[in-house]
Amino acid sequence: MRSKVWILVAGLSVVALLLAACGPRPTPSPTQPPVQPTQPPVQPTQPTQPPAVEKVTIQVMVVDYIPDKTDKWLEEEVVPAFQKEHPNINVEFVYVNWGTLDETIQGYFAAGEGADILNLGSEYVAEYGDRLAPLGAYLKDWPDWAQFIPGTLDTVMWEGEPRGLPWLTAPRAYMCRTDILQEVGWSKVPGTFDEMVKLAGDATIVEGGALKRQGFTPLDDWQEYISLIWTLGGSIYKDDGSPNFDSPEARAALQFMYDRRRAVLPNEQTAGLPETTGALLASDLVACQWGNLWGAPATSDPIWEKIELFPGFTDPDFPNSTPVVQVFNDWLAIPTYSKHIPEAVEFLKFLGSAENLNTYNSHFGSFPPRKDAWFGYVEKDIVMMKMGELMGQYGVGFADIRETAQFRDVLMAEMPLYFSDAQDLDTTLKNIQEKYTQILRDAGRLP
Amino acid sequence: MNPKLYTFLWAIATVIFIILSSLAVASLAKLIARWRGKNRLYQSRTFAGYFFASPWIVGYIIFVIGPTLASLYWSFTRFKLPDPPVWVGPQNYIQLLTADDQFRVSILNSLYVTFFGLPLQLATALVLALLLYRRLPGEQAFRMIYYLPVMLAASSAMLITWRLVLNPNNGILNTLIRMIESIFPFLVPVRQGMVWFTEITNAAFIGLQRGNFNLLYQTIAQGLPGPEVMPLWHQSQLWSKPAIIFIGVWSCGTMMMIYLAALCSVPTHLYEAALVDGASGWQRFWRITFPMISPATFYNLVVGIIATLQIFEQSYVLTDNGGPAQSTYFVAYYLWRSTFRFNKIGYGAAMSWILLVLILILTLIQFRLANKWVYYEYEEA
Amino acid sequence: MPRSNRRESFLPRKLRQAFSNGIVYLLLLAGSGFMLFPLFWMLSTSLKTMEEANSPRITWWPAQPQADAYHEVLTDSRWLLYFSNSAFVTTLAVLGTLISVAAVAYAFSRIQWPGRNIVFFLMLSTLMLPYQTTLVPQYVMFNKIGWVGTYNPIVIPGFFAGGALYIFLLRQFMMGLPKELDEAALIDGANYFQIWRHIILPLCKPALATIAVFLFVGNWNALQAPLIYLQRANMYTLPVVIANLINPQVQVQPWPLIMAASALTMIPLVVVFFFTQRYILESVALTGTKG
Repeated sequence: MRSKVWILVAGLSVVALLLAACGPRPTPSPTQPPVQPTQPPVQPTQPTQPPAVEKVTIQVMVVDYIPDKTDKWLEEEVVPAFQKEHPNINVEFVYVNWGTLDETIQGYFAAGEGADILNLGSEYVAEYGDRLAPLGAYLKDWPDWAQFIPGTLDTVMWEGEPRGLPWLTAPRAYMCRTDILQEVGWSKVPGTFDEMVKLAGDATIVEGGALKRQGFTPLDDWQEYISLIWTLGGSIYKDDGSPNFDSPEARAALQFMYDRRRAVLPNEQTAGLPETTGALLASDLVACQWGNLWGAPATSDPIWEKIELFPGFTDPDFPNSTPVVQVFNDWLAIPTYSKHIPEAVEFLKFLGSAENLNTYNSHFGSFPPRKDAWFGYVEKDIVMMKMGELMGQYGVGFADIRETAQFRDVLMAEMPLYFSDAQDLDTTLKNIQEKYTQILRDAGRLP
Repeated sequence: MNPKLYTFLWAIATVIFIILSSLAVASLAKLIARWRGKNRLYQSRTFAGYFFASPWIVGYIIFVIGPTLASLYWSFTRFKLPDPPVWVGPQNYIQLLTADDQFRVSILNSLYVTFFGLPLQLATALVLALLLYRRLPGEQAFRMIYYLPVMLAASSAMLITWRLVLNPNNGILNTLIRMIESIFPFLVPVRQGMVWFTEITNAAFIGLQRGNFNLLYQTIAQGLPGPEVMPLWHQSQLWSKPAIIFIGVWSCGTMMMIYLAALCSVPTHLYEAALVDGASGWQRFWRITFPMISPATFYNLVVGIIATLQIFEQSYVLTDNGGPAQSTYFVAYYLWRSTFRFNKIGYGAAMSWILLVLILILTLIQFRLANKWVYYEYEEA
Repeated sequence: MPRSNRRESFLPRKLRQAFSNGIVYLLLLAGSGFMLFPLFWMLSTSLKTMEEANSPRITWWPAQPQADAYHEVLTDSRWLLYFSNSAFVTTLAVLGTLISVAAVAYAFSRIQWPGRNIVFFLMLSTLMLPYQTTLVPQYVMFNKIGWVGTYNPIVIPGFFAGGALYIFLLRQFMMGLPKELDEAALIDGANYFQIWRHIILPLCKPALATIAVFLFVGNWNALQAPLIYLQRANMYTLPVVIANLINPQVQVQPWPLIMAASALTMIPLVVVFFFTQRYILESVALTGTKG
């Protein structure tokens, strides 16, 4: 009896040990400084190597969007090629998930150590800019720097200095299914805010209190709200850095989103679309959509013959109004705590070559952030070329959104209240303005 | 190093540390006992007691006392990593209690689920327990089925499944409702009434929460919803909290088991006496069963309140960051978000202290009220 | 009171009994349906083709159940890694917690030592402490000692008898064992450790099994702590991965795949529950009645 318990305990320990032993590829703890191998691998040339060349390991934190693809490419192709040029630099990767990225970065900064290169989201420069190494001195002699699309550089500039390198560009534009448009009597995509509202209503089908087809999606995206403010020629900050939600542009944009939502959902008791898999635009459930190509049908899908891509619409009441293609950039930055900034810069430059950016972005159908990297899959693809053209003409970087997480929470609280008629437009804008001002004040960004 | 091996080695080191520290604590206790002139038997009991209790005592100091004190201190500071905390006095508390709308909303959301969800959970658990108490053949299998959800409820896999099940358009729950209604058409008005009731109460609640009753007026003005209006569950601010309550009711197995045990301990002679007195089944339940199982109700309530106030996974997985319109933004979720997303650690700490005080107050009220309705048979084992 | 006061039904007693039993059965079955339908739906969706899962029309059960989604999950090295991560964390945490809880419960139930009541009261009071109060400072503490990004913060705290409820449960069980057991052993010259190891623990097996299952469930499902401590994709446990499957920024993953992964995640829970349910159902009752 007794021995059985101990056998069980011992057995479980063995299981645990086995699990430990046959685990994944070895990875060091990220919060610990990269450990120098105490005994360098035995190499025949080792004694003859000059002692001055010290082997350095840099850690790169990457969002692993497509497991087993991007990571394999980085480890099996990029790093070996890089080490041919820089045999003294080891590169290790830490893969994270978009959902836990913030926790990881905060942990690094809190500890004052961690990965030497960080994969950051588009709007992060306002949050982390102070803690990222200024790279101007390193990059000024790099001829490739001039190749980067100016719009993507919005994302990485902080206090006049580049803080990193853009490496993934995903513009968001509008897309409509022309066949559905024709079916409901529209020969062209909407050109004005009013037309968009009208079309959203025309293309919607509600049956038995539930949506059968949605004229437009998404209906409550806070990022689109910002894009619409920009479209009307407005901005979300005043010159003194305070929020600008008492402006006519902020007002008209929110009013428009409300009208469009009401055109789609006759009331808030209407049930939304079923849960589906894959791109909504390919499902016949949606007529028009705002988003990037990632959320759209694959560009090789023949459905694209029936999809029109357009930059947006304008409002004649606002003379400065011009369509905006919101450009989201992932970028790579080097935190100031890094002990290997020059080596990390070398790897950044290597990753930033036209070939590497092209390969990396081909994994997602996103754009390489430099113009001379638009070959191969980009060139061959009509949809991509069209999107690229729109981005070149209308692109505005989704950058410098201050205290993003809290700002998002305010918008996600206030906007739906207005959309459901729980509060009116004036109150909503007033609340956003006041709450965001308070947040910026608490964070020390406003006096 | 392989992360699993790393932790495995640390685990071994921890075991050694625990044994050594336990020996140290126990020896110290024994020394004190000897110094106080106690006999050898007493000393050896002291040594053994502290030795076996030490893992908890040491853990309490490291993982509870230390962090609790730190959190208390931080709650009076402005603490944004990586900068050190800056003392600001009670400012965090003042802001939370007077100025922070989001905090008010999240506290009220949590209290909503506690006050409306818990009674429903208790009632369902009691009904199921009463059914099982008949001890019909196959009772064991039913018991298992009813307890199974408890094992799965907190799993994010289950919460993702709920998203699919609760889809208002073609989710299986609404489809089932429609199917049952097509067999029994008289249920349609019942559902209409329930939809109306839920939307009115939730609109009223949101009005209280936001200090603005437009949604309520509007819901009243719309009148009885048409027969096509189905529950919208996690898609609507009027339905998201009922959806979370629904999931809570689904996993009421623990409460049911506790009720079942309590039912079994009600002495049968009481029922026999009542039968002789001619009491009906209903009377027997309210006069005998319910008072006799009141300690179980009390236990379920106290444990349930503590658990409900800490709901987190539902906001994170089911309703996508506490939406829609922050109707499932619960206090535990706001706390987590303040700390790990907004990097406002002092503020989060203050919030956790308010949560603790809230739990204490609710529990104290429970204990106070308990004298009035909980029946204890004073029997010492 | 005279017996004639009872209301007499017009139905014979036996028939009435059968009738009421029938109603109870119906209700029990309805309750089972309520408890099982989400699981049924998970299973059904995981076996569907993409067309069936995507169709706005509802398919109760796929015409030809497909095992593709399961095959895809089980042959994907990532998913296998997540499974092994979860298994590792759970095994180690359950072992460490179970043994330490058994030791502490023994001290609280079968040894008389000065200060026992005070310490016991302190332990019970931690039941009231919300998890979040210590979550944040613990995070900062683990950060300082470099444990963030490792499995340590998830596994190690349990070794210090984490879980006051389990200590309490086991103490209740140990209190119920006859006092003479220890006394006789002490007279025979056994020490406290031997009594614990050779007498008390073997007698507590049902309670230990129950606590092991609770710990297993808790660790297997844990989301909050892994979310903040495991900062790299190849260390994630299953709940973290699954919670992040629905990412609004990207296209939705195929539902059959999500449901297959979810079902596979739950199978260990169901299996463990099935084999230990007798003990568990008894022990749950114990917490409530003696509290």
